[in-house]
Amino acid sequence: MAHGEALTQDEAGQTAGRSSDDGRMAALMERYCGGQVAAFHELYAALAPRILGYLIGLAGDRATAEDLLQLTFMKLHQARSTYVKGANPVPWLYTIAHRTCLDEMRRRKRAWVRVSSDGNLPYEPSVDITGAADPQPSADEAAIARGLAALATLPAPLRQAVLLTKIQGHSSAQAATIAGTTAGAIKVRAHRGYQALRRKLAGNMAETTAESTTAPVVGTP
Amino acid sequence: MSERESSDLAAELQGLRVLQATAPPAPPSPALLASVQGMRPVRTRVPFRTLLVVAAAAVVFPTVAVSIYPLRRDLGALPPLWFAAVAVAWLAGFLIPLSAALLPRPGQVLPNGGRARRAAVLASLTLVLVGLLFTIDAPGVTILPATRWAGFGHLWWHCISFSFKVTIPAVIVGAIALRKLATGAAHLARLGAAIGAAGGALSGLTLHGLCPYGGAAHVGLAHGGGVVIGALIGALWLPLVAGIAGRVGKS
Repeated sequence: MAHGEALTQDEAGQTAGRSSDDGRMAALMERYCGGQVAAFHELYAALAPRILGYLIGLAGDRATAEDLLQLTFMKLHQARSTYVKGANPVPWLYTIAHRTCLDEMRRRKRAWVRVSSDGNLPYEPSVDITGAADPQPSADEAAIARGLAALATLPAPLRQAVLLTKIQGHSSAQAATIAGTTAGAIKVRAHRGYQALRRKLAGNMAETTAESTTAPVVGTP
Repeated sequence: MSERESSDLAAELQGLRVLQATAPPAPPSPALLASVQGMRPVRTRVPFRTLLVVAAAAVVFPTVAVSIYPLRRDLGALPPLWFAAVAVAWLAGFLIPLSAALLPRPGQVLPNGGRARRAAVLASLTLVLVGLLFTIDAPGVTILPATRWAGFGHLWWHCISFSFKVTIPAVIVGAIALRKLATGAAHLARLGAAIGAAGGALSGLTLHGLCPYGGAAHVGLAHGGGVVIGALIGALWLPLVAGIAGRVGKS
């Protein structure tokens, strides 16, 4: 938000809520550094869902994101002596999560094994223990999958900015702190990323619509 | 884009937002729980203390140099106001990047990498320009380096190697102090650039009082060049040394 621009009531309320939340997180982190195991569990309960959501957006799949979440908290635990008393640990945790994700992606690229010439695996129907085939994904799940796939096509800085501002709801200033850049740069990246995402999703939908209208009708003579 | 497509897009983005709220994570893994159960209280970091430690490491060689070498012989012939103003510029070139590299903004854990990088670039450019544009010599008293490349290069290397003795200890101590930050090499490189630039500026401040050679080219490229080279050394070395220090600490 530009300096001098008046805050609306909602925004003022959000800011106040956020600063009280920041204070709570700082207090929890201090207790955690003081050796209280319960404080770790409270911190995990409060922050793990947000960090997991961010990691799903970055990594593109939940299983990887769950692994990265555990690694992130392990790194936080190992680095807790570098915490600064009274500081908000949330942007720091996001930075650790982002770093952990990038390291993991690099490691996986190095360890990549090519299993098909075009990068796609043939479809294998999965079954559960009852022997029934997996149900078709719901409309919501399909939409999320499309969104994640489109998000994955964005360059990393744009993806990070879109995730932090448009999806996770951080302010530009908070996102800038997490990304280690300026609020202006975050705004530009988020805008470009959002536009690219819209184009990508619109393109995907146009393809889907074209396919459905040109597909042969089964059963007609 | 049609109205339907537009609403589908909004739904998909909404879906991604829903994803953030309805994804309960797994509980902490057994390995994480084991580490947490056995933890002891830790002493947290005090950034200002880190700043003092790194500054102390940088100040060691200038202190030795000032006590060993004589002051520049043209000191009495130079305008005092100019001398003081340029000294303030060098001092600011030391303090501003060092603070940017080591002191987080209030309420933050990490020093801002972007701010550190900007401080390093600004200090490097400003101090080179100060040397090139605002150097004053006392005719007949200040020694001017030879205009031939060999003579100029020899004195350039002399003053640059002086700056290494200020910059390198600061970068090494800074790397040890920042080794556990759990951020990436890029972030550490930005902080390193600022610490290196600060070391170069402190070296420039010391040379401002000690180096008997004048001339805008010498001061700009050798004393100011020490800031640029210091920033490069810091950016390259700090992540490396921090990585090594981190591994040694773990083993």
